[in-house]
Amino acid sequence: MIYDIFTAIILISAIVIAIIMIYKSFKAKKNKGKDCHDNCNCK
Amino acid sequence: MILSELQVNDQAIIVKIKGRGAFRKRITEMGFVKGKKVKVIKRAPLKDPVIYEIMGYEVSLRNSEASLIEVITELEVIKNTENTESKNLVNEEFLLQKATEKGKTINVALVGNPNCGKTTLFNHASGSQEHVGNYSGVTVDAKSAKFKHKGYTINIVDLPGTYSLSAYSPEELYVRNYIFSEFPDIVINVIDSSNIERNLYLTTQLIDMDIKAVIALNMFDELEKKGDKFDFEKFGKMVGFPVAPTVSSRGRGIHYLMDKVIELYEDNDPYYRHIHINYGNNIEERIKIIQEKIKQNISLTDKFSSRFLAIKLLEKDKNVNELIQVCENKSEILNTVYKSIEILEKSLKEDSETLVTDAKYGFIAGALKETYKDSPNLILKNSSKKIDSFLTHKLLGFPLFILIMWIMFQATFTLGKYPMGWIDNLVNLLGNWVNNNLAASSFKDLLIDGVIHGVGGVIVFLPNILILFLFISLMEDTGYLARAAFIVDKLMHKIGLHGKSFIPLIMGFGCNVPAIMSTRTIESRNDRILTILINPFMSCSARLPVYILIIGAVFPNHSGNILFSIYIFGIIIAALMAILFKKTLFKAKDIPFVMELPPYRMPTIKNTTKHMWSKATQYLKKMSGVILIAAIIVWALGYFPRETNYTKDYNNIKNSLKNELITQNSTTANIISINEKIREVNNSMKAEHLENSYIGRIGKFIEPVMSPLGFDWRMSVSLAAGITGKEIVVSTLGVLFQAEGSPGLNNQTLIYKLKNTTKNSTSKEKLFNPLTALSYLVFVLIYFPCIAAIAAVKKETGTWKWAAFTVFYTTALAWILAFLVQIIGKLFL
Ligand SMILES: Nc1nc2c(ncn2[C@@H]2O[C@H](COP(=O)(O)OP(=O)(O)OP(=O)(O)O)[C@@H](O)[C@H]2O)c(=O)[nH]1
Ligand SMILES: [Mg+2]
Repeated sequence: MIYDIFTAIILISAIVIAIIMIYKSFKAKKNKGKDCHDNCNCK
Repeated sequence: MILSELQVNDQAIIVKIKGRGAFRKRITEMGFVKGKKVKVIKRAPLKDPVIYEIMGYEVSLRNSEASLIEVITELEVIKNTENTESKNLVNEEFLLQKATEKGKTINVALVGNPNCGKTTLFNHASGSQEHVGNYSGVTVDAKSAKFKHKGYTINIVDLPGTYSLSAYSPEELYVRNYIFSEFPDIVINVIDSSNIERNLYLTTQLIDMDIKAVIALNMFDELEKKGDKFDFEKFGKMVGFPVAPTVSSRGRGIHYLMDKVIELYEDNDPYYRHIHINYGNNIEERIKIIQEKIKQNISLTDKFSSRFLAIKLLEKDKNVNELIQVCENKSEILNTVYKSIEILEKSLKEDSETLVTDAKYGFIAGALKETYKDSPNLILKNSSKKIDSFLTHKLLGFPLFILIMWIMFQATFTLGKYPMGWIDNLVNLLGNWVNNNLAASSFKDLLIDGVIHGVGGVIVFLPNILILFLFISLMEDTGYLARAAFIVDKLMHKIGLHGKSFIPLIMGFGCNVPAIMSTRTIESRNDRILTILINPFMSCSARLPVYILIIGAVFPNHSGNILFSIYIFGIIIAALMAILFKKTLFKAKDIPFVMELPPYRMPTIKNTTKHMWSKATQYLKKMSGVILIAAIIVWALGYFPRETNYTKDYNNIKNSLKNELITQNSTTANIISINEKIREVNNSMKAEHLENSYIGRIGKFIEPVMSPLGFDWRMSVSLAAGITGKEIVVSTLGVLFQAEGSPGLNNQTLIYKLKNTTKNSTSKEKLFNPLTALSYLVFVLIYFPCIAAIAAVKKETGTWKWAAFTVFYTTALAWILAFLVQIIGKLFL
């Protein structure tokens, strides 16, 4: 029983972390994309 | 805070005056000195100019001037003080103290030619770990770090290497914009002492810009080794910049360099002065005339030296042309410039740009003539040439390159085998321990089947990856990588790319993300996108674990050769795609390009171990991050739902077998065979459960698409999971191939399980036959580069279009090629 609670906690946190990771990578993408465009004239 | 941000009646203390020399001088003469109190008296109706009170006088400043003065206000100090007690104590003295503290922060930028050791200096000074390599174009982005020196906080920024500050290539523009928009307090001009003349060209441009610079004569050891003599103190006096010799790879001279930086920052340097390079009467005359016109725009000349702008305009610099657009008399300026260029070119019969460049080199030659003595000893100078006559030989060069690559992959496999085995045993010991010491529960299953099988399956490949990186790092540090680029340059031209694209491609063997970023050194946008598009075929280190696993399971006797072939196959595909793209998407002309060949350098043990160490920690971090999370999620998808309608009553069968164990007269042979049967029943049960789990349903859903390639649902799912990172293909296989191996430590490994898995429980046909394994390897090599790489493609090309294109064309290509492997293979087998 107690072990099942452990499992549930781990699973939920894994899912939360996964969502945060995906969210973060998208956010970082946006900023940096702009940076590159301003700075290095790569057009 | 900046002075121009203050409101009427606000008071503040001056922290720092930014901007170029002449501006600072004028402002200081007006009384705006560090540590003085300044008060806003009145703003003109249009907000410009503003009247300030300083040292009892009233002075008016324009906003453009005030924006270059950094101040600190009482409010700012209170906000930043956590201690409530000292909040009440904010008096003038305290404020002054804070202002001095803040004034002791120096912003320093490293500027210099490619490969002169800027990043090495940066790493040594600040304790950072940025990438260093003995070839041009390693750094493509600004990197900053902070450290303390003699009570000062130094904010140091490493910039990409540039030969000049004209606006030809993205890097040059980047560095120039950095200097113009960030106004670093001090620029450290890093110079490769073994190549002084060419490096000083950039210095002459810094002189024109009228900024505070310290020259770091880096690689001074190489100059000494050659036996040359350089009177750098005298040279420093001549050009007006303090000079400090350094050997940044060993950390020599960096303290002294920073002392000089502080001295110059505090205006205590005896040698610093702003000199004018003499461009000859004709040009000087024209510069004067243009300068007069520019000087009418004070807001521009506060920031940029009018002389610098005039020279740049004469050089037909497009970027400065844009700067001029804000001027009211811009057409007058431009007309004067056009006329001047015409006059100069007519009378001197040369392109105006060449005239300026020649004058600069003339200045350098003159300065060096008085200070630099070549050593009569020529032998040492040519050691690089001697090695090159062999390694870049017309006929031998290419075979040697292939040989070196072959050795690299053989070593990755054969040397890596041993430590890999040790780690594998450790992982299995851990698994057995958990198995014996935890009561059966979902948590135990999560630990064993999810974490240990998933992450453990990937972690064993750490040694292989480190060996591969050791080779790449050695090639980088010795300078062989630049030669390799030179060797393949001819071939690259044939496929429509030039040698400069080779370095991003080689970096792709490590990781495609920095490789895609390093394409910034390529000027032509078309070439750049082309290089980005074919980069994913360079097999990154994340794919290595998959190869080693599959090759180890199916082709144990030819492992090194197959690994080598996979990499070569990737390169061939990249070349073919490049030719195809060049013919269809990017019809562009070749641009001639000179590949710089740096001298050979001994790699330092320190640098190499640092490199390895950072790779290892990176890998382990990935294990405990993305890969762990993915393994847990894959496990959960395979664990639920718990109820399965089994086709047979497995429990019943197991019980009857167990009864047999008890009742039978127990000869050892009998016990073993019954245990074996129980194991098989267990495995079938597990397999059936997995097939009915969520992940099984997903797998069954995509299986029809993949079955022509010979992949079952588990292989298909592992490929789908692999888009988050290719190591996850392995961790997913680890979770999905849970079937118990036969007793014995070595029989628990994933390689063993893959080797013995059959297509389904009834048939004896192996799932991973050589053909399917080959299809799988080809698919993993070519399909969807990971999400991070796609993000990098988007970032560097600036549109989603190319990112989406990369996703689709690589995956489609992977499917087609894997299918071809099946078809062609069947013809031969
Ligand atoms: N002998 C010697 N080698 C050095 C010294 N400083 C750096 N190096 C080597 O020079 C090579 C280039 O160093 P980097 O720091 O990558 O050069 P960089 O100026 O940052 O190059 P880019 O980023 O390409 O512009 C490396 O192989 C260093 O190990 C030095 O003082 N003496
Ligand atoms: Mg660098």
